[in-house]
Order: sequence, then C-alpha cells, then structure tokens
Amino acid sequence: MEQLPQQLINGIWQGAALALFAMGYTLVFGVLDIINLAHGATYMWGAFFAFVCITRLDWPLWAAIPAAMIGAGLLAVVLDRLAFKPLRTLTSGGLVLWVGFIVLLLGLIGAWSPGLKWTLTLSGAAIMLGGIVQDYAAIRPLRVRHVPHLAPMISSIGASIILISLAQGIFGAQVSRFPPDIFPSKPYTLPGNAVIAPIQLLVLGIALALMVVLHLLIARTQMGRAIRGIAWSERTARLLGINVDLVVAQTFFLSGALAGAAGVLLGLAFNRLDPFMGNEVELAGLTVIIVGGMGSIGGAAVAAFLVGMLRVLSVGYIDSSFRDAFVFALLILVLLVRPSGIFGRGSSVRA
Amino acid sequence: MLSVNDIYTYYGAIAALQGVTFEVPRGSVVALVGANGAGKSTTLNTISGLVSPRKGTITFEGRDVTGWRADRVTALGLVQVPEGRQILAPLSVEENLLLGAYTRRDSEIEQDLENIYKLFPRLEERRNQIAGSLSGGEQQMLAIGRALMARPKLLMLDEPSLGLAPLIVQEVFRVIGELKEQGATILLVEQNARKALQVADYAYVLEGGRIVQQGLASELRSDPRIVEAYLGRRA
Repeated sequence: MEQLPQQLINGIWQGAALALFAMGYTLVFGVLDIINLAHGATYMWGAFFAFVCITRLDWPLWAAIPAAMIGAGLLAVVLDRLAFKPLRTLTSGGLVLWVGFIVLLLGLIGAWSPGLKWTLTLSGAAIMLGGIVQDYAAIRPLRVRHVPHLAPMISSIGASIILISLAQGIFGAQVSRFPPDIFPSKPYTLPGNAVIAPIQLLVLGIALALMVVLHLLIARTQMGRAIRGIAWSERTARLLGINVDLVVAQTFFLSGALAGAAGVLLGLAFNRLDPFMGNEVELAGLTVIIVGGMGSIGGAAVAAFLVGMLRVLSVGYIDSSFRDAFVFALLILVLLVRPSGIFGRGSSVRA
Repeated sequence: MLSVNDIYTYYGAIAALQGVTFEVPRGSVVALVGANGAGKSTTLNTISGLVSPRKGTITFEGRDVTGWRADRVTALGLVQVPEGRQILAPLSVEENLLLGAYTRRDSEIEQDLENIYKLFPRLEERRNQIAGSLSGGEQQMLAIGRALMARPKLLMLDEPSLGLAPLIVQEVFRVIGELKEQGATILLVEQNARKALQVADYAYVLEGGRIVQQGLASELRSDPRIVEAYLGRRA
C-alpha cells in the first residue's frame, strides 16, 4: 500500500492525457454520430509531427507541441474531406470517390505483385478524380439517401490503415525516441514518497489547460454553439445561416488537435513512438467515451481519469497483462448496467 | 422584394409545387393560406434553399437565389421560422438567440438581445434555462426571437400558431402585428386562415401545389368561396 500515492499520481497524469484523446473522439461522435476509427492514427501522427519538428527541424519543444496539434488538426480535416464528407452528402460523384478510395486502399496495403499494386493504386486515384470531376461538372448532383451506417466506419478503418502504413514507410516500424536532453529529467519528490517527473507535470498542466480551453470554446463561443447546434439539428442550423461544412471542419480540427496533443504528450512522457501506438489508446479511448456517455465531453473527461486510474492500479497491484482486462470489464459492466454511460445523453455538456 | 416565379418542386416523382408564382413587396405582410398538404411549407422550404425547385426562379432584392444553399439564403436576410419551432433543445434560451445572430459581425448583437427580451419578457425570465424545457408557446416566441436576432429583411413564418392554445395564438399574432407596425416585411404561412387574413395585407390561396386565388386580405375575408372553404360559416 505504500506505493499508493505514486500510483494515484500516475493515474492522474495519464488520465489527463487520455482525456484529451477521448474528448476529441467523443466530440466528432456528438456532432456527426460517427466513430472515427482513424482517431488513434491521428494521435500517432501528432506524436510524429512533434518528433519531426524536434529531431529534423531542431525546433524547441514549446514550438513543436502547438505545431503537432495544428498538423494533427489539419490531418483530421483532410481525413473528414476524403473519408467522411463524401458519405455525408453522398452524391453520385461522392459515391464514385469513395469506391475509388477503397480501390486505392486495396492497392496500397494489399500484398500484390508490384504490377498489380500500381494498377490498383493508380486506378483508385483515377476513379477518385473522376468522382470529383463528376460532382463539379454536374449541375445538380444526385443525392443518395440512406447511407449505410457501417460506411463511415469502414472508411475510417481504411484511413487508419493508410496513415499507419505511411508512418511505417517514413519512420520505420521500430520505436523512435526523442533526444533524452529535451526536457529536465530530475523528478520532484512529493509527500508520501511519491515522485513526479517534470515531463509528467508538463503533461498534466497542458492537458488540464487544453480541457479548460475546449470547455470555453464549446460553451462560450459562437463556434461552440454552432457545433452543438449542428449536433442537435443540421437542418435548423442551416436555417440559422450556419455553414454546416465549415463547422464540421472546425469540429474535426479541434478533435484532431486534441488527439495530436495527447500523442505528443504521451509520446514524450514514455519517450517511445511507433506507428502502432494509436491502437492501444484507441481501445482505452473507446471505453472512455462509452463509459462517459457517447457525445458527452464532460463525461469523457471524468471517465478518462477513471480508466487511467484503473489501468495504472491494475498494473501496479496485479499484473500489467491484466491492464486491458480491467478496462474491458469496466466497459462490459457499464454496457450491462447503464448503456447510455455514466453521463449519457442527459448531460448538459453534450456537444 | 421577393418574387417567386413559376416554381416546381418535387419529392421524388411527386410534384409538391406545380408552378407557384407570387410576390412579397417590401414592408407588406403577405399570407399564404391553404389546407394541409397544399404545398405551403414546401414553398417556404424552396425559398429557404432546403429543397431545390426543378423549375422556376426565386429572386430576392433583384438577386437570383434559386437553388442557393440554405445558410447563404439566411445570410442574405431571408430568414425562416420553421414549422414546429425547431428550437435547439439542449442549448439555453440565450444561446438559441445568440445563434440566431450567427451571420452577423456587428457590435449591436447585445443590444438586439435586450430588445428581444423586451418583446418577449418570458424569454428573459428563462434566459439560462435549457430551451427544451420551455412550453410550446414559449418555444414559438423563442423561434421568432431567434429569427429576429438575424435582423431579417424578410421574415418567413411557417404555421406559427400550430398546436398552440388559443390564448397563446392571440399572443403570437399580437407580436406579428407589432412587427408589421414596425415596418417588417413578412411572409406568413398559416392554416388558421381567419387569423392570417386579419393581419395580412395581401394573400394567396394554395391548393394542390398551385395558387388558386389571390387578392387583398380584406377582400378575401369576405369572399364567399374562401369563407366556405377556409373560414367556416362563422365568418
């Protein structure tokens, strides 16, 4: 028991970083009712953006973190345009674009002979281009109604695979590390014999600050009101003069920037980056947003600390291999007892 | 100010509007009356850009806005209060009003908010409540107030009295009368033809997606066919 204070501290700073990831995850769900399964890949790319800024461009850490957030935010916007938007306002051209995207994806990731690989990839790209041209050329593109719910999920899995493959191609599958001298490493001793490293304090500080900023953006600004308005009724939002596409792009940017921040911060704290680092946090994040109540930002923040603590405590007191077992036990428990999540739907912070 | 010229709107293969033509001059209140399913809401939604007409043109202040995206139409000052209020239930009353001013960038938004509260004191009492907790009448006031926050050049009201208690209906029409006195331009869609014809200057009767009759509201009020079909014997 004497290591409890230490475990609690670890649970708090890791929970705070997980909260950043989960809030972005749940934000997109709240607005568009889609699970963006490429959120973990965006998180990973956020970490690598900072890695490039620091190791290749020699930027200081304080500049690399916002740069990584902006990079990941823009990545999420591009992701929306390519993987989700065509499905939202599915025009005939959009459908063609999506089919092209799938073909391109097959070409990129499949273990084909080089000839077939390039044929598939290039024809996928050509089909996508055809789709874009078709929509711009048509006077009134045909609307396709009732897009199957699985389509955006499949899209985001595809996007995730592409993003991971790209990272693998550029950075290799091995673990990359930030230079060790990037941040002071002498830990502070706290009452109860617990220690906290400066980097862990930084993670906690930035995460809490970003949570406050996000809260203010969503609760107090016209952009935040528009995001919540669209989540409730896109049609009404349009009648109020809200450009839905723009607000959706803003939502994705916020979501991606938060994932990117979480990626850099956890990448720094554990000092290990690899193309697959998003997979683990995606599972934890999914649990967090279900436990917190799908679409509830405040719920996600609270649940993130809960899940973070649960993970740390199960590693500290039982065995690290049981970590995910406890997380999933919590997930199953919540799904059985209260499927809408602890802070589900009734919550006033629902976005 | 607004002229709708021979529009045809389809839902799939069904023609909801079959050549609708009318005018809303600046500073007037024009009513569009007709039975359920006559195409009244479709007409407003076509003007607002929620649906596109297959044929015909819509001109607002000399600009062809046919087929424009709904948010761009609203940004021009052609603002609709949709049927069924359509308030943003999880947002507070004040947040709903502030979103009404989404297209504005000027510094008088706070001032207008106070004006709306003067027009609808009930909304001020409930400014921090969740809009979904309001009664039907209060929600209608909120929907109108929210549209006014955009400083509309032309206000389109879709069935503002639908589903409200008689006393509240009185209140809604009192507000419409007040806006009229202030010189607002209003296009009013109503099933309650009696009320609509009292407040309007000019009216069109819509039937099966076509304009079947039009005239000064004062004349239509005493037209025997209108009395028979839409006002009942009492009038």
